[in-house]
Amino acid sequence: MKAIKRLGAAAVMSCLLLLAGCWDKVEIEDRLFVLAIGVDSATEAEQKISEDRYTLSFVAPVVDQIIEGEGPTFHTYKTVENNLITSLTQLLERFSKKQFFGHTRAIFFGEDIMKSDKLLKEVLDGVSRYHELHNSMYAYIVPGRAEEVFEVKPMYDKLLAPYIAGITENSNYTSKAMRLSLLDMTIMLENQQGGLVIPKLVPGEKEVRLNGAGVLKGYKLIGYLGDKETSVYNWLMNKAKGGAISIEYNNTPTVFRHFTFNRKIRLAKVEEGKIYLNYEMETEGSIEEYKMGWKILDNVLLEEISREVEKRIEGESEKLIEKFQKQFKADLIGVKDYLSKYQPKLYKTIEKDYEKFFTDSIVVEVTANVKIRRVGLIK
Amino acid sequence: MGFFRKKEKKMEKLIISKSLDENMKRLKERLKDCDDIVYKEFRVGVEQNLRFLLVYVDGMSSRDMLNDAVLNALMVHAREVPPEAKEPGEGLYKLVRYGGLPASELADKDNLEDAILAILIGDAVLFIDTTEKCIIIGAKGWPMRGVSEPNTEALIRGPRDGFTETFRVNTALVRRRIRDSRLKLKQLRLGKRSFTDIGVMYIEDIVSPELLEEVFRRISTIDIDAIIESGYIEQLIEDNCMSPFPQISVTERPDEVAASLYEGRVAILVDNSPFALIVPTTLNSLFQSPEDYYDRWYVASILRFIRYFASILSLVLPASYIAVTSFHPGILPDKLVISMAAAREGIPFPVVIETFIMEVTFELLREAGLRLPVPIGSAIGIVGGIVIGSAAVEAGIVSPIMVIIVAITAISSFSIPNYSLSVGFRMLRFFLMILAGVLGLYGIMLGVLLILSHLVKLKSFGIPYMSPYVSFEGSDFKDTIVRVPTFLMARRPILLARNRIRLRNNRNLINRPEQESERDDKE
Repeated sequence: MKAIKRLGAAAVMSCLLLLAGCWDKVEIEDRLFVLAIGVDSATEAEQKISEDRYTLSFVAPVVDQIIEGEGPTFHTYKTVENNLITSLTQLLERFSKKQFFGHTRAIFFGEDIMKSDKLLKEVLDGVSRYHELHNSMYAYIVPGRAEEVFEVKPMYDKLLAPYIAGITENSNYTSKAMRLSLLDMTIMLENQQGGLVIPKLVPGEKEVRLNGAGVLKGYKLIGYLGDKETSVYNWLMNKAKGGAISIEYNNTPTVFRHFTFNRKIRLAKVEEGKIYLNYEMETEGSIEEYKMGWKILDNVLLEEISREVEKRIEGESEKLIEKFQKQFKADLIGVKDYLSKYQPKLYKTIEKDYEKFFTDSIVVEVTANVKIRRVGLIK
Repeated sequence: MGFFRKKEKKMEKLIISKSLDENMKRLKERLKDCDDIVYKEFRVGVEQNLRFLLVYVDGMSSRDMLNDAVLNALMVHAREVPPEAKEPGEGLYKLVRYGGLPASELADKDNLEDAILAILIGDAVLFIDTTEKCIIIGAKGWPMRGVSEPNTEALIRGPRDGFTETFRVNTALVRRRIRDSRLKLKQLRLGKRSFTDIGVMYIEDIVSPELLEEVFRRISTIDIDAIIESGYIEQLIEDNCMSPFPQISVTERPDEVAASLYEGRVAILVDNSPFALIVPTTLNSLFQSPEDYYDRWYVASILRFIRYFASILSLVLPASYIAVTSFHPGILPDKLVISMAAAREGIPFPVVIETFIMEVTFELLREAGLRLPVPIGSAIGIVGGIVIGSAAVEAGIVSPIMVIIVAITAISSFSIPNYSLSVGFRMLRFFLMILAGVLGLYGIMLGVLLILSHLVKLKSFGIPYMSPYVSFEGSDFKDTIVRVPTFLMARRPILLARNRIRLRNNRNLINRPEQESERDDKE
């Protein structure tokens, strides 16, 4: 009797072990490694029924063509459906392989999705909460349709998605490239009630360019930032690391390359119902290029060049801040973040009608501190 | 003398009679149809009236020795110096026993049973007419293999001698390394028919009395007809016979036995086997090679680390491959996953089956190669290399990555120094492969947990198998994955030894004070 009880207990306990979690045993060659996803709104020509809203494109490598082979190295699987989940099941109905999102590197949003707050909200909920999709893939906006990206045949890379992800990862070395993961994207949209700056990807014939960024407000695309403005935006958001700033000094173009770039926000004063903030930027770097024959080690010269760079940083930053305040009327430059976290009492007083307060009564002053550490090889 | 004497008493007890003829009759009766027994009867004395009988087993006793020490001495030399005792009787016996036989090993026996046993062991027995006693002459001298380098435990640095099949040679090899009166050798005879010599060796003031008692107690439980090899004893006295892990370590190296004795372990040597048993054994000690102590400490530490790493690889690598490819490709980098998927393209079997095919093939090859003579063995190597290496891949039955996995697993399992431990890991590898095929990485985790819980529970002669990892004795960690410099290994293992200090650290005396060395230079 005792033995039977013991056996029973062991069986129950082994059930606990064996029934925990869920397993899907799928052989590696039966999986469809989706490397990138494109989201577009369905055009009328594509719609089979009028409820179809999205065209989703899934890019997966043709594995045996990658190592050797003449054929295309990746295929695009396209679905037209009215939501994400049925799009995924549609893939299973049409293709033998089971899609796997563990290696998805990028998600592209077409401009038309970004222009409609309804479509964007719906698809983002699906994308960000579906358990098989992970949140560290990079997000991009594509002017035009997202599927155009998948027609690019990269010149030097065999696969598209690692190529694009690689460009994004170059943001450590150039501040003009912006990096935004799907997780950051959903967090920012949540915090800013639909405000977002998302990197813009422009497809070309044989390459893509990470060029500028799209600005969203209330889940709607309201404009684009240019190439240089993206760089400035990275400075303001403390996202910049390496990069180059070119200036003109004595009619000679000079380049300051920075390796670190730090931004701190300080509350300067509160006066007459206005909040004065100070954006302190500190950067270290080198002067790489000047003019033959000049003694670049001269202290005065270096001082002057660094003043020039500082002026440049301050001027451009203030220009962009003004653009956000006056043109976009959206606080995407971290003011609210700072105030709510570090000055919660002050923030309480302006919490209502914050947007108006931001455009009218926040004064941001930028001070830059440039340190030139190296001047390159000299004689 | 005999261990099972009491139970052996079913046979009629034979005593030595006064009459030589009667003795010969009784011997021939008992040793009937034993055609390798030599009965040499000879007469001594001027009148040739003293009758002697020498009995021994042909081939087991040294004829040269018997010729010199017995026959020559009694038959030739005795004539040159006339013996005082001219009549048969007690006087003659004493003369022969204490003065007539120039042999180093002599003993008296008054029991024919003992005499027969001595004959069968390889000694010669001398009977003298009219005497109720016999003389056992130590004349063991069978053809034996010389001391040679142990094949299974070869070292780069270290002594080249290994145990042989002869018990006495083996005990001598150990004694040569421990010239201490406290090294004890207790001899027993085990096996109701084989009467195999067993020697239990230990150092009296180091070994713990409980361990020693436990060893003797377990040996005394053995009731078997014959001990052919030390493996019999190992299996009869080990703690857990169901465990895949060896709980008694086996070695062919006298230096390893000596080192273990100095640590407070007990060694069991068995006649006819070049393998000595060492108890107790821990998992940690199975990863040690004698060379670790002969090489400098950091070399040994790196090698230890490699061995531990190799053992983990040999245990989980094929299972991990199964789990990762069929359950969790997400943990692989993009490029690797694509190339693995490309390599698997067109393979007809699931990964589990593929892995089993390759692992089983490899085990077959290893087994085939093991038993074959060297010239044919190399042919097996070629066939295996071609079959596993290229043909299977070209035929599209297995993927090239699988070949790499099998190769790495094989190499890893060969780098575990202890053979029986690596066999244990081999079995567990298949167990984990099945679990991985069913449950993925989760299955591997379950399997490893199971193995670990078994290991933690396991004991070898009262010592936890996982010590010092489970006993948390700080000073015992000096000889685990990191083997600390020799001057820091001052204490013997805490769980084993009584007398714990083994060296004093005098490193500070190595460098002379500076003035002295300058003065030396001037001279």
